[in-house]
Amino acid sequence: MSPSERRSLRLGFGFTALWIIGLGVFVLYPVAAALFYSFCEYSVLQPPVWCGLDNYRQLAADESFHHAVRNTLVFAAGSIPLGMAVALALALLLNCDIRGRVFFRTLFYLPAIVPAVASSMIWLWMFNGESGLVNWVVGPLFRFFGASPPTWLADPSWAKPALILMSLWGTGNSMIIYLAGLQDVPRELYEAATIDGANAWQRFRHVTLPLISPVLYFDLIMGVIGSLQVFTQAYIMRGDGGAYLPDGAPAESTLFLSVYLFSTAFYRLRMGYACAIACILFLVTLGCTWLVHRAARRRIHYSN
Amino acid sequence: MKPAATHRFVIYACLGFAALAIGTPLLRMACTALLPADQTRQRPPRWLPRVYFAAIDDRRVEVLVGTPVPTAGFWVTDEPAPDRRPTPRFVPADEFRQQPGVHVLKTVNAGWIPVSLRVPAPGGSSIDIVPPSAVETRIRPRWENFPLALASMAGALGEPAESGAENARPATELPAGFARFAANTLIICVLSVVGTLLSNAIVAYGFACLKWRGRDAFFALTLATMMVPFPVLLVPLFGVFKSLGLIGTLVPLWLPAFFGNGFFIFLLRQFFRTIPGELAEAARIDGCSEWGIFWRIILPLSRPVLAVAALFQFLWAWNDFIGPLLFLTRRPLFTLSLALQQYQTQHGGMEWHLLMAATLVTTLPLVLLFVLTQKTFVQGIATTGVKG
Amino acid sequence: MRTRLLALLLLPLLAACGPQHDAAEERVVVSCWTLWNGEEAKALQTEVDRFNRGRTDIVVELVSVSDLPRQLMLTTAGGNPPDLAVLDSSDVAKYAELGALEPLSPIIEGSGESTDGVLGRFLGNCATACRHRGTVYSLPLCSSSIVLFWNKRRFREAGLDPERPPRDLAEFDEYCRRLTEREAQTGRIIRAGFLPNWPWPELDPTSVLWLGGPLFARDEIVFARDPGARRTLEWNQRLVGNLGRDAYLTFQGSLGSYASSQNPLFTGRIAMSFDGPWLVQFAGQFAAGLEYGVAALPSTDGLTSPSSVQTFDVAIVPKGARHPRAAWAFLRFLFAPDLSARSRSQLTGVEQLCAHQFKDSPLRDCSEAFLHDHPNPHLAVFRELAQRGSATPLPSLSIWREYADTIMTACEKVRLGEQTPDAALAEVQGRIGAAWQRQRTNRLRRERAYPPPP
Repeated sequence: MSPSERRSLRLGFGFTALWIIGLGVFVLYPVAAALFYSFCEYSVLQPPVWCGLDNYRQLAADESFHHAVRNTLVFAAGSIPLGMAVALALALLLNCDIRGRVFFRTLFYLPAIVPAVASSMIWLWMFNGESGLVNWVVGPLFRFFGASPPTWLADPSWAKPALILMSLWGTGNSMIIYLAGLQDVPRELYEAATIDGANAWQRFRHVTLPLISPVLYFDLIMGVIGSLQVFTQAYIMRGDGGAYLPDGAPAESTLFLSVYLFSTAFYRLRMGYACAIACILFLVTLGCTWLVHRAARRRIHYSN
Repeated sequence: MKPAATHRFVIYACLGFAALAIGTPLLRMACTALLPADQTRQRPPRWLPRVYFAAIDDRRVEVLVGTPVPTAGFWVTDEPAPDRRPTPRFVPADEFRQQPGVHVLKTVNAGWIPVSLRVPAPGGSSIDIVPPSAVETRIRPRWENFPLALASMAGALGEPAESGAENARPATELPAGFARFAANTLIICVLSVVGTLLSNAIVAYGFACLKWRGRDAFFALTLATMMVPFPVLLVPLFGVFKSLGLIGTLVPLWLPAFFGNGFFIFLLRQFFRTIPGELAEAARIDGCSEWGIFWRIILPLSRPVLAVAALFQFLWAWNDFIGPLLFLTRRPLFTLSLALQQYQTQHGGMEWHLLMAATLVTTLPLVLLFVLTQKTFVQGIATTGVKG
Repeated sequence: MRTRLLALLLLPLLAACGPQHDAAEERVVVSCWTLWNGEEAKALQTEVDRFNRGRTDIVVELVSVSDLPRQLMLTTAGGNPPDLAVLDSSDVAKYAELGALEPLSPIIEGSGESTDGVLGRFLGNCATACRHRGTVYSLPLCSSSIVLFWNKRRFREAGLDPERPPRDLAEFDEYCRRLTEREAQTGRIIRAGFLPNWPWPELDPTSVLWLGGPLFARDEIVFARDPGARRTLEWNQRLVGNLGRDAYLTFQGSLGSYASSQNPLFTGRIAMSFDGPWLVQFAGQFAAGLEYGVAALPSTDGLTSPSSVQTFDVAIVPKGARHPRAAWAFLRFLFAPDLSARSRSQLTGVEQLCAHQFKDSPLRDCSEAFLHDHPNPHLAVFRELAQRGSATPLPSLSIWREYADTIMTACEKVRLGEQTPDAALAEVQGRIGAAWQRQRTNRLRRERAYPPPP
């Protein structure tokens, strides 16, 4: 290594020194430790005891864990595409030549900055079976078809849809990203397409979508990573009321991986088992991201 | 290219619908926060808080509308005791027995609406009953919900916060009121913003403007860290802070910000790379050190992106829930989010008007911050996506 | 260089945010955590103050901690636990199993008393609840039996005798049916007789014990064979079946806050509930003059004596506590009330504590004033249940939290028609049986890796 190379290396490490520490202490060590503990029986109060694959064997037989995996995947599969569709629709609306754009943009983005705890409280109230606004609006619809309106968060079959609906409310971030993407699409392309006789749908399908596909792709990946670790809403919105209820109430329908992980680790103090869940969560995240990447790779259009 | 009139109409209709759907929950929160308890449960939903008046003895007096009385009976109240305030209540005639310590305020006939004065002291003032037709109504927000909710958030029991429950709590419990929670939240936010600005810019400079062996591999690793879900790190991070003796302090919530974050490093690096290299090159020829270039040239040019990073970090720190839930053990150190969640879990059942008041107070500072800085915000978010 | 600078900048911040200690304090400071807040914490504070006034060497500091079980474990793990904590007895076994508690016998004997002598002063169930696998880890402060509360006005309105609570399960079901009122057109429930998990979902495991189950016998989980478990599940299914699933859920979401005048038992929206002595206090606080009754839980087939389920508030010393002896000194003070007290204001120690909290004393001997000047007018009901031994305590199981959660989930599934009682029985048995097996394997494995000192 030449002296100048050595100097540049020293400089490079010097500037990134903080991050080297941060990466090591707050990311790499925890990941490695989680992997190690997942093979141990560990409670923080006593030193870990190696137990081989026992934790994973137990996971394979643990029905709560199966529910957690299923719930997490269902939530992701529901909230990501719907969220993207809603965000894209809003972005397209805002991209039109309209008055009051700043007002609408601010309003549409607002839910995204409401703290997760606060928005959970708001939606607990909205979804309340008796006095909630949601049932006031959709209740007549249900009654028209002869059904009684759902009690949303208190009902195992409606709790996840309720959480997905709520997640649509906070898609402001995606919307802004899409909007920026849309504004980068050159006008001439639309004009050319119009001259070629393309209708609105064709323009959207063949001009807009390909051009904003990199943005969609980025948002999709972030969405996958984010929605697989959903925690706060599920932790707070168990059941309809406020009392202590077991995790994932009602009937484990909102038991997500991170909620199960948290209570296993910090209520039951089964940290080794929790780390095994963590490792699976990591693998699921990697797997889903990879699948999405593979499926989307060919469809992304990079202009330059 | 102006759209046709019908086209425009459709667009505005859609926008209006979306605005309604998105705005309603927020509006509902704000409205509920101002309702008296009994009006939260009315159907159809009550939006505007009302007060009721009736003319009693030629005076207009504020009254409460209660449930219609099905039978004749008595309005009674207890003798005032130091630990509770007297609440008048209705006892049907057939259930009534004269007991010591209970005052009869008024005998009532069936079919009326019971009306109570604000706080009738037994002996002094009295309870009057008026027919429904004599009741007038006016809109008036119940601002008292806010102090009540904040007191409850601070750990007082549901209702008696009015009657000085604040003094009733053990003296050793610190006055962990709303101000305290807000201060804790602010401490975390400010420190982590400072940390973010200090650390990430330096690191990003190392990645963006210097050439060194292994840089690209290291940068790829940095990007990969964004894929690690935070819950995966919970147990080991707890161990790390435990061995540092920092469990139950605010430190674990802001310390990591001082050591960089993959997302911000990425964001800043992308921006630094758009700054023309000639500037740095010229400075280097003039004998400026790398630190000097970073400090005097790059940093002043990157104010907008630093503002974005600061805003993001502020938002994240303010909204963080799982961190405080994990690391904070005592009420005096709680953040707003955690205090709000703990408030909800105190008892079975819900006092929605107070919960919404507490929620509103937790949310409002952020909404104001957003409205004031929304241009920076929107640009910042847009950058993250497009450059990705 | 930069890092060092930063470290210099950070150090004062770290120092400022770290735990603060009382400097230059000569008295030993015993920190005592409690999950009580409000009035209940005030009661303990009174005794703390009395103790502090009488001692020159020790000062007790009381802290109300919400979410105490988790926080306690986290600080114990973090190596900075309080010296004393007051919590629910059902959590003790788990912490003992995790090695998070200090065995109390050496501390007690260090002060010249015998462990058996101390335990002998408690009522039978209270003394049994102190031990986990033979070792004493906790001492009871208050005892609470779960009883039936009913709103007499609702009984009268439904044409029932307000002075006669349902005596057995069949009668109870009949009362529930008669006390339920619906809106004519929609079938919406306006007022209900009873809700199976109001006010707390832990009523589900409690119900199993009430309806006859041991839950745990001869070192084995016996849920599937437990007659109480089957009865509980079928009873839950029946109750909600009668109410209607959706109507039940909607009604449940509409209930007012527990510790307020909106408590559905006070407003009459629910006519009967199973609850502890604290409800008497809330009734006085929020619904003075409410006409209600208190009685033993309805009996079940084959069980003739009135039954109840008993819970305890216990004191424990976490592992790593700095001043276990001083903590015991405070407990000793609490357990030696003035038995010659003549009036409520003269009560001391646990008697004052329990009286203030409307609960029953865990001690065998009580002062006259405690029995006759107690603020809870129904004390006799509670005391009789506790003394006759017809109140069952929760089992002392390290996996109790998990067991209870699983039972709650199973009951919820049965109530909502997601599962049949048979399937639920099998599922709980399978899960908790495995958990129990795991617990034993882990204990053996740990003992092999770290043999206990002989």
